Amino acid sequence: MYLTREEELMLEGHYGEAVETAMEVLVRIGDAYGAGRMVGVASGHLVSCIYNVVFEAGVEVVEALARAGGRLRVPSTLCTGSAPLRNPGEFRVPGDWLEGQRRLAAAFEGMGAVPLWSCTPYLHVNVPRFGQNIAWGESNCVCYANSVIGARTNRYPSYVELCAALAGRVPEFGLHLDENRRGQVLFELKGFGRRALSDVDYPLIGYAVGLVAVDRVPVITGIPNDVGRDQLKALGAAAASSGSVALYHAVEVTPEARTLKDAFRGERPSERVEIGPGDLSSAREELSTVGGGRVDLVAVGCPHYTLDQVAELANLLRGKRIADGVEFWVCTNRIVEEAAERMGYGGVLRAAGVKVMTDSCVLNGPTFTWNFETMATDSAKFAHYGPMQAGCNAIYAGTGECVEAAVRGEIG
Amino acid sequence: MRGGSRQGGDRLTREGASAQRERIIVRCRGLVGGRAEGEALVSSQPLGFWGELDPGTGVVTDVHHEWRGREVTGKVLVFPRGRGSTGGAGIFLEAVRRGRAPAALVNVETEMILLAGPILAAKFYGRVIPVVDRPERDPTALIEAGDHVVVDGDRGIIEVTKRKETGSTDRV
Repeated sequence: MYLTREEELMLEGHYGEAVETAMEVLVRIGDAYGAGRMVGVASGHLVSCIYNVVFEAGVEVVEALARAGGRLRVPSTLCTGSAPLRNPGEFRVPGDWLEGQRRLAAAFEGMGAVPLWSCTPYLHVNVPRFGQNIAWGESNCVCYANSVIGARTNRYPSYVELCAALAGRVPEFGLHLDENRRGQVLFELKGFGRRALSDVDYPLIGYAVGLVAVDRVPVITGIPNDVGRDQLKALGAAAASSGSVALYHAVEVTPEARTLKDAFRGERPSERVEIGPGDLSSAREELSTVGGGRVDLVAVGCPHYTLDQVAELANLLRGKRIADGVEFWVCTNRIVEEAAERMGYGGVLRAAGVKVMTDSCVLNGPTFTWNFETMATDSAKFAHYGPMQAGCNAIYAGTGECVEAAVRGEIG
Repeated sequence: MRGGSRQGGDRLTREGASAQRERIIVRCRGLVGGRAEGEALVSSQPLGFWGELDPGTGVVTDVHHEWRGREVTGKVLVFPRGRGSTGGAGIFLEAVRRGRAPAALVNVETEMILLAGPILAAKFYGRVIPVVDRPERDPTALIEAGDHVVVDGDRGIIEVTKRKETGSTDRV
């Protein structure tokens, strides 16, 4: 791979040990992928700060990089962590777990990271522009930035995104290059008649697409162009869970797909798949490990709820009270929480017995210590990973159904 | 190419036709240098580690994986490619820290999630875990569970000693 003089000096240790380590990792990856050169990135979004991803080894490695003088060269936000840092007691976070997360937080903040602790950086603080190269981790963040915004990032794994932020660059390969952003598989939404797609449908569409696309670039037709940002966020998060979709195009919706031809860059799709109401029913069944019954956790906010979603939830919960023995957790970031508080939604949620979890979420927290039996959620991603990460049953349902379940203590 | 070699030449070398246990040498692409050996664990399924491996025991926990319940510690893992969550490198390095890491990785195509862990293991824990990919023969077909495999990440070579004794000399 071609390296500039500055990059050679970085690799040789002239910019300190942390940059040297980062460059060594990036050059090896670039060589493995046949990259010709490095490209600068505008921002980072980091997952190496999540204790439930890196554990004690991560604490040791990140602290070592910080001690070695590591300083992030580009603005970089921290993704959803493993503990609500202000009120861990409210969510039964064990002491050693909290200690690990706090050490990671201190090391990252010492290196200049932005402590957003959220998986919706693309809505606050860290909003890339169309065509910008960025080095992001976390599959929903990567999918949204690539697809909805048209920024360019690969799915950078833990440690690699940190190396990229320390070096301010990545090897140029994969989705940083035009030719790899071309659509590959065509998905046509068919058979919905006059029925408008709802909030319950979008995660299911994403889930169905991801199952077939796996790691190819899907192109979806039939999504109305007044679709909401939150619906695209939910679709992408689901496609990145059932498959490893890092980029999708929705024709006449997303910026690299003004037309069908545009999405495929003039070439023909390698496969054509129809998605109808039956496929969404199958996806819904696949996402639920049980058909119904008692529920002891209702969890929403994966990816983190936006202000609009919190408002909608508050309106559904107004004047209601969740059943005894049920926990209802809304996962979001502090920016949304603050705005929701000022708009009176915080009070509505508290009156209903609902807790707001910031900095963290149900998947990244100390999942196995919570011992929930059955979780109802409006997130395909929570439903997909919940049984694996938390060892509980999962039921996928609409937000309204989740509220009903919380009030009744059962679903179905 | 740093730490790697992309070699052409003869596809395969058979050594010691008189030996009872067949030894096969296959050229690969070396991605992480060093030499290690161990018993092979072979799967045709991809593996990504996050949510799939318990780093404290080295046991595969993914209910959907054919290695479920098997321990990877000290084994040469032979599988097609990585998959799933980008958290995989984190789990891998924690397994290294707790002495539960595999000896080496042999893939059809190694990707970033698999590569980052072994590179950092050498750097931060002094553990050499060579990684090779693109072998000239499909490793998941050639290598069987229990075969002894030597992985040389510097030369880009694997040496497979078959577990089963074979009298035949015509296996290529």
